[in-house]
Amino acid sequence: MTDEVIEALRSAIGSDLVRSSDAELRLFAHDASNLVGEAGVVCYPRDVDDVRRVIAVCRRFGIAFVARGAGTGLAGGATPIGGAVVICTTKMNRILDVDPLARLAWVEPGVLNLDLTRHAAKFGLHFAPDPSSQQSCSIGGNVANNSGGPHCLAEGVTSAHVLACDVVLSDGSVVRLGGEEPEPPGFDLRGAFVGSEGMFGITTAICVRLTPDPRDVRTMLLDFETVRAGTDTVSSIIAAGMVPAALEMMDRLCLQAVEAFVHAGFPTDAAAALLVEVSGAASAVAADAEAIERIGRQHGARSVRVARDDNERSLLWKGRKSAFGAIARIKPNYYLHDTVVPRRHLSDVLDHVYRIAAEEDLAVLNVFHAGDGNLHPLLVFDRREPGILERVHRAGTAIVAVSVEYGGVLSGEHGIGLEKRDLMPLMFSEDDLRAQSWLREAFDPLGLANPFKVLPSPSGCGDAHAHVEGLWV
Amino acid sequence: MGVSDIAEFASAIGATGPVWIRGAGTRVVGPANVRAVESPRGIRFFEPEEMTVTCGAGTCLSELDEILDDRGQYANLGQLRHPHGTVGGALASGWNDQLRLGRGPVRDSLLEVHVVTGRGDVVKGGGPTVKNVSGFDLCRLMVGSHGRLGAIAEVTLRTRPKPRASAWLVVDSVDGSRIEELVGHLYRPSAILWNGLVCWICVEGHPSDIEIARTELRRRGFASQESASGPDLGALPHRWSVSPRAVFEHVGERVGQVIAEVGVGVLHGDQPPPTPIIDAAVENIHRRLKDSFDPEHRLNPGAGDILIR
Ligand SMILES: Cc1cc2nc3c(=O)[nH]c(=O)nc-3n(C[C@H](O)[C@H](O)[C@H](O)COP(=O)(O)OP(=O)(O)OC[C@H]3O[C@@H](n4cnc5c(N)ncnc54)[C@H](O)[C@@H]3O)c2cc1C
Ligand SMILES: Cc1cc2nc3c(=O)[nH]c(=O)nc-3n(C[C@H](O)[C@H](O)[C@H](O)COP(=O)(O)OP(=O)(O)OC[C@H]3O[C@@H](n4cnc5c(N)ncnc54)[C@H](O)[C@@H]3O)c2cc1C
Repeated sequence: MTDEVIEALRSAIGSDLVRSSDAELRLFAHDASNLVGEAGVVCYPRDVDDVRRVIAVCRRFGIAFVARGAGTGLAGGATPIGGAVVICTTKMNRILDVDPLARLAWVEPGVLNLDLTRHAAKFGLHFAPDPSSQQSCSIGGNVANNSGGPHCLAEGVTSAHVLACDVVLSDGSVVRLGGEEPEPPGFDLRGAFVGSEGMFGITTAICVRLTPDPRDVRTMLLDFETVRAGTDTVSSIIAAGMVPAALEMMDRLCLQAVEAFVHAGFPTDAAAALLVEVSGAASAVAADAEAIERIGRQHGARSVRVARDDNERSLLWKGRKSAFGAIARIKPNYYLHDTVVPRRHLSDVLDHVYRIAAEEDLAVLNVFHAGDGNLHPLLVFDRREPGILERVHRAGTAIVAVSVEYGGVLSGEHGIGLEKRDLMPLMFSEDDLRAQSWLREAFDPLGLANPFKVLPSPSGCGDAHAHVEGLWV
Repeated sequence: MGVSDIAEFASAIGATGPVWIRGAGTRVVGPANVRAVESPRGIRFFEPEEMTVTCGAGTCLSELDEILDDRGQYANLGQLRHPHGTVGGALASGWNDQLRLGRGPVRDSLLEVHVVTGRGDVVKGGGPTVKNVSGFDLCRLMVGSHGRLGAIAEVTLRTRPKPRASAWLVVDSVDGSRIEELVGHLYRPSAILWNGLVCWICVEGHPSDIEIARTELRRRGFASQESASGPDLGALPHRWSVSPRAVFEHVGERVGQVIAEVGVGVLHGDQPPPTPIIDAAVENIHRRLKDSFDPEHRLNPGAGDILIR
């Protein structure tokens, strides 16, 4: 990064908000994935005007910029390429307005997901998308990745909860996409923006829908002797006309790791366990809980544990949500995958996952959103082992390929970013990809917003990729 | 149905000259001098335990409803408004019915779409599974685009279990001083319609929960009567879209003359809504989209609102 650019940024938003120490640049060279790029400089705008000023400098010098929320992304979305300007939203973390009657809130992008839910709790409301990273991820990041979470089965992913985004485009204009009103004129640019992985512009304020807290909740743990009995239970629950609030599955290795970590009484000898939550109005909850228990037993559930109180309920969820911490006890490194398959193929695809891992002599844990077929195979390893990265890489590619073969998709919630960019042709034709690039160009004809992500680039732009280390899967 | 039908549809649309994609024509018919093309019909794939259905865009909503209904499911395409329209017409117009508060907007039900662009290419967006973030969201872009970016050939939709029961409760004498209290006490109703005097509430779910809702209302002094349906909107042909926060004020100003979808922000009225103010930068995005997807602006000429036209 030239001193001239840094100087221009400093005079644009103030020296204290522009950082370029080696330590900081190293920290911002990657997100929570293994994909390391190169950050040119890091800016901390305080508001929309600061964002505009930074982008104006980028435009003047023809430099790319990358929005960054909390950096918990797992697909390299916030990994800067070739010395891009990182625009970090951590100082834009105000909850601007909550309207409990209209059940909406305006927030700045750096507000953490769980902070909004905590804030809304006093009105009996919450923000429904609940990624496992919700303590640390930002709502701006949720919007950019169209993130999901265990409770998105019934409530829908982020896109269903975003009413409007104020966005700074690379040409410097500030636009409101969508609106508080239900039917704004024109194309659904709001919908197009959600999931655009920072490549359409930077959102500086977001209007979200808030969801009433359920009147009643029932959380259950069912365990099975085979994985197939568990996945068949999932299909039968859905086929019986129920959409539980959450329907999560953990396999044996995961149960063992989690139990050693949280001591919640998870059955460590089961092949798989289902964590099922039903919520809503009291009679529906009671009826669904009873039906789910019956279906589980029909499929051979060994036990059905119903949480007696909020404490037990939190403990069960703690087990589910701390799977990532728990695996550190097995091996120091992990690689978390994210694909979706049609529910009816869950068992078959899981069989392939186990086979693929065994062929590469890798340990694999599965903890995933079974209700919507969203697999999260976790490959655990020790990166000091020679040749291990190649094996992890091969296994990962094979898992994605087999998911797509079974009629699934590349990613259910983590996004494409850099990680799966070059796998896009598994799902999309050249014509399909061209249409996606038209969409991006409509927002960012200059191509300055987070370039080189999502869309496999035509040959010729290849040199920009050389800077990325650890480009996996 | 099948790929050959998508291909046939694409060749019928071709790559030059104006084309009008015809649904059932329940709302809009194309200009007389423009060639009309119908989209493929028929259900291709329905697996109740996947909660997805794949069908041609020309499929009639009533046919789709019937097949899903057999397995206790529905697709949220705003059928209350127009049961005889087509899937493609419902998606292209993106219009919602009065149950949006509880069932969500039509736009959320589209999972995968195959469209024919103005250039004559077949383009797929989204994916067949209920959850997917692979690539940019062309599905959301297509819903409500009035076919101006692409003619919808085939879609995969999310389905939902039908509610066990549903009821419309009508509460009289709900004026501006009581509506907020009423709204605050309802647990996730599917619709709240209000004209400043009368409130129509749709509650869906377990029959006992509906009974509980009714009892709770009574306890709070809102006696209700059951009705077979919501209010008749026939005399209120115009649709306003306002912030849900502004609804109470709008209704207060024209008591009895408008019916509002509380919590959503749609007002049904006898007067046309004001022309929206259009932002130049937003207009530019629209222009660039049309210029890329349909450079000759040949698809559905004249269709759509002020920004899309
Ligand atoms: C342990 C763990 C568990 C996780 N569990 C889940 C899960 O259950 N479900 C799930 O969906 N994800 C999960 N994730 C992934 C991640 O947390 C989500 O993708 C999250 O939404 C990213 O938010 P962030 O603020 O960290 O974004 P970042 O990583 O900083 O950025 C992500 C993307 O958003 C863009 N971006 C950020 N802010 C803006 C903005 N203001 N405007 C435009 N673009 C912006 C970036 O450019 C980048 O492309 C998990 C991650 C970890 C580490
Ligand atoms: C201008 C307008 C006014 C409306 N007003 C009302 C109203 O007052 N009350 C009400 O209940 N509903 C209204 N609607 C919504 C209407 O009920 C739905 O659009 C209905 O589902 C239309 O279905 P159809 O098959 O009859 O479509 P059509 O009326 O035939 O077509 C509607 C529009 O969609 C386009 N279209 C149809 N199929 C496709 C396709 N496969 N690909 C791309 N484009 C396609 C058509 O070209 C046309 O522009 C209105 C819609 C529009 C566009």
